[in-house]
Amino acid sequence: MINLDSLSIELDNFKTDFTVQINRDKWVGIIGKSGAGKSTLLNLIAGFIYPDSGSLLIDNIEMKKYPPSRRPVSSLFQENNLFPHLSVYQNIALAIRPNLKLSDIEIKKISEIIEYLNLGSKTHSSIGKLSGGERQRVALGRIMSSDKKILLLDEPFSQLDPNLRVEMLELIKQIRKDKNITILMSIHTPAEAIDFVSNFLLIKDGKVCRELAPQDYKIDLY
Amino acid sequence: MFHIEKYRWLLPGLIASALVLSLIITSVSGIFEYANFQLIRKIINDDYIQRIISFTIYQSLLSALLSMIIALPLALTVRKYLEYRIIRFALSLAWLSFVLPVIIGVFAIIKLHGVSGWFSDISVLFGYEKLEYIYGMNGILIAHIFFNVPFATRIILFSLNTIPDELLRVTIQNNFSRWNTFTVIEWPAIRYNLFVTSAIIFSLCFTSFVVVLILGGGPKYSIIEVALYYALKIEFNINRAVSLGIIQMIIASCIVLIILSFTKSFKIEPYTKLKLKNPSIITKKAIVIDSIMLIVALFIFLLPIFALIVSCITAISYENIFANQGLHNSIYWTLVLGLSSGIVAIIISMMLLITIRKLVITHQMKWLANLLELSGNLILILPPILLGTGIFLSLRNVYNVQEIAPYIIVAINSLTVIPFTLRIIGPEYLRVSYMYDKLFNAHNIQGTTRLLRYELPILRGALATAFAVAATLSMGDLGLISLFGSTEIRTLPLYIYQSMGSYRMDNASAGIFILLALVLSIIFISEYLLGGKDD
Repeated sequence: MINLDSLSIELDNFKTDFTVQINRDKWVGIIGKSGAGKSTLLNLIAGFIYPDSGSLLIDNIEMKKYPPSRRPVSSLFQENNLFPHLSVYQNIALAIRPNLKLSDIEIKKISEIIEYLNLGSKTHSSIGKLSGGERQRVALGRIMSSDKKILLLDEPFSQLDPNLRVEMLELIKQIRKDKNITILMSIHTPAEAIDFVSNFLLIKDGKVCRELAPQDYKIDLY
Repeated sequence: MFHIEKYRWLLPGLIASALVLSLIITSVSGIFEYANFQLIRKIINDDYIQRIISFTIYQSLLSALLSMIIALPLALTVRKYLEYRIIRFALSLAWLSFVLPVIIGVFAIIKLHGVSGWFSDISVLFGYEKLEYIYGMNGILIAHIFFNVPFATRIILFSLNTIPDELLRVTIQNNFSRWNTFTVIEWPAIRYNLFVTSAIIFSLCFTSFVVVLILGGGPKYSIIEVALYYALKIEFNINRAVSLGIIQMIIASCIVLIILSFTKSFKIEPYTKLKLKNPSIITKKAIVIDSIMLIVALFIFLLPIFALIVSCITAISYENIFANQGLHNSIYWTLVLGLSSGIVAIIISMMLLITIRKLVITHQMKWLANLLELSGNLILILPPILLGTGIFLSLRNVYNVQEIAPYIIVAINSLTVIPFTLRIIGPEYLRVSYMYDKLFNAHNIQGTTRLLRYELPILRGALATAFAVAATLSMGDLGLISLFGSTEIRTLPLYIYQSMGSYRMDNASAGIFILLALVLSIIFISEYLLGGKDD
C-alpha cells in the first residue's frame, strides 16, 4: 500500500500537496493537464526529488530516508531508458548487477525475461538497431529483472503509434498478472487505458483532485 | 554565353581569399628567401635547437596531461553541485582566465606565486625565505594549468550534460556504485571530447608565446616561438629564425591536421540547467571529499584572480594612471589596433561567407566552399609571430617596416582571428539562409538589399560576439607588437611587459587594470549593446 500524506515540494513557484492512498496490486492511471504535477508525483515516490514536508509510506514504512535504489519502485520513462552503447542483454542485466558480472542463475533469469518479451533473436543486438516498441520492451525487461513491486510509468508510450501503445498495455497487463505488481502510470490519452486501469487519479494544481472510475475519465474536470 | 553579371556573388569571397593568400604568400616567400637548406640542416642538428624542440613538445605534453588529470575529477565533482549559484559563478569566473588576454593571467599568477607575490610574502611573514619557484618549468606548468583546466572542465561538463536525466535515474534506481556510474555512463559520454580537448590544449601550450616569454625566464626553458623571437629581435640571427620558423610550421601543420580530422563531430553545447539532485551520489562521505576538492580548485583558480583584482585596485593612483604619458599612448594604440583588427576580421569573414553560402546553398558546390573556408583557416598553421617574421623579411628591403607597422599588425591580427569569427558567424549565417531562402526568393529580395536590410540585422548577435572575440584577442596580442612595436607604437600588453621587465610593477598593474577594463567593456558593449542581448 502506498500512502501519501500532504507530501509537498516547492519547485519554481509551483507547490504540490499530495494526499492519496493507493492499494496493493492496483493499476492507477494518473491524468491531468501538462504542468499539473503528474511527473512530480512520480518523481517524489521514486525519490528522485525530496519532499519539503509530508510523509510517504510504502507498506507502512517511511520512505523519505531511503535513496531511490533502496525503495521498492522502478521507473519507465518516455525515452532514454536504455544505454545506447550496451546490448539488449546488458541493458536488462544491469538492474541485477551494474558491473554486468552475473552468476549462472542470474544469466538464466535474464534469458527467461528476454524470451518472455519475445526478444530472443535480439539478445545481443545494439539498442540503435531496435524499433521504438522493442526498446520499450527491453526497458520493461530491465524493470522485470529488478524484481521491484511498484512500477512507475511516466507517459511511457507516447512516442509509439496507437496500435503499438495498446500492445504495450497488454504486455504490462500480463506482467502485472504474473508478478503481482502495483502500477502508477501517467498518461495523456486516458481513453486508451480504460480497459486496463483499476481507476484514474485526476491531478490538478499540484494536488490529487479526485479519484475516477475508468469509464468516468470523460467527466470534464480539466 | 557567359554572363559576368550572374557570377558577381563570387567576387567577395574570391577577393577576400586573394587578400588572405597574398599576405600568407608574402610571408612564406620572405621565409623561404632566406631558407638555405644546407644551413637549415646544420642548424637543426644544433644542440640548442634540438633542446628547444624537445622542450616545446615535452612541456606541451606535460601541460595537457596535468590539465586533464585535474580537470576530469574536478568536472565530475562540480557537476554534482551545478545547482548552486556560487559554483556556477566560480565556473564563469574561472572561464574568464581562458578568455582574457594571456598577459593578464600571467600577471595574476605572478602576483600570487611570484617572488614578491602573496605566497612569498606569507613565507617571509613566518620567517622563511622568499619563494622563487615561479620562473622556469614550474611557472610554465602553473600558468598552463591555470589557463587550460577551466577550459577542459567546461568541455567535460558539456559532454556530461549530454547524458539524459532518465539514464542517470536508471543508475540511481539500480544502485550503481560511483565507479560503475563512471564506467557505464560518464566515461562513454566524455572519452571522445577528452581526447580532442587534450589535443587542443597541447597545441595551445605548443604556441604559448606570452607564458613562456615571461615565465620561462631564459633560453633554457624556451619554446620554438620564443626562440624565434629571440633570434630575430635580440640575436639578429635570421638563419636561425628562419630554420625555427620552418620547423614550427611543419609541426603546427601536423597538429592542425590531427585536430581537424577529429573535430568533425566535436560539439560544444551550451549546458542546460541541471536541476536533478543526485541522492545516491552525494553521500556524507562524498561531501567531505568533494568540499576539499572544490576548495583546492578555488584556491588554484580563483586566488590568482583575487590577487589580480587587489593589485589593480591598489594601482589606481594619479601618477600611475592620469599623469602617465606612456600609458595613454598605449591605450590609444591598443584601441586603434584592436578595433581595426576586429572590423577587418568581420569584413573579411563576411566576404568569404557570402560566397560560401551561395556555393553551398544555391549551387551545391561544397568543394569550392571548403576551399574558400580553408583559405580563412590557413593561418592556423602559421603562428602570428612566424607570419610577422616572414612579412618583415620580405618587406624590409622595400618599405620602412616601422612606418607601415600598424597596417601589418592589423592585417596579421585580423587574419589570426578569422578562424574564430568564421566559426561564430558561419553556422548562424547558413541557418538564416536555410530558413528564409524561400521567402527571399518569393519576394525577390537579393544582393545588397538582402544583405544589409535583412541578413545583417538577423545576424546581429553573432556578428557582435565575433567582433568581441576578434577585438579582444587582437588587443591582447604581445608577440606581434613586440616584433613590430617601437617607442611610438606600443600597445598595453607591450607596455605591461616592458614595465614588468624593468620592475616598475605599479606601472604594470595600472596597465593591467586599464587593459582589463577595456576588454571587459568591449565584451559588454558588443554583447549587450551591439548584439542586443537584452531585447
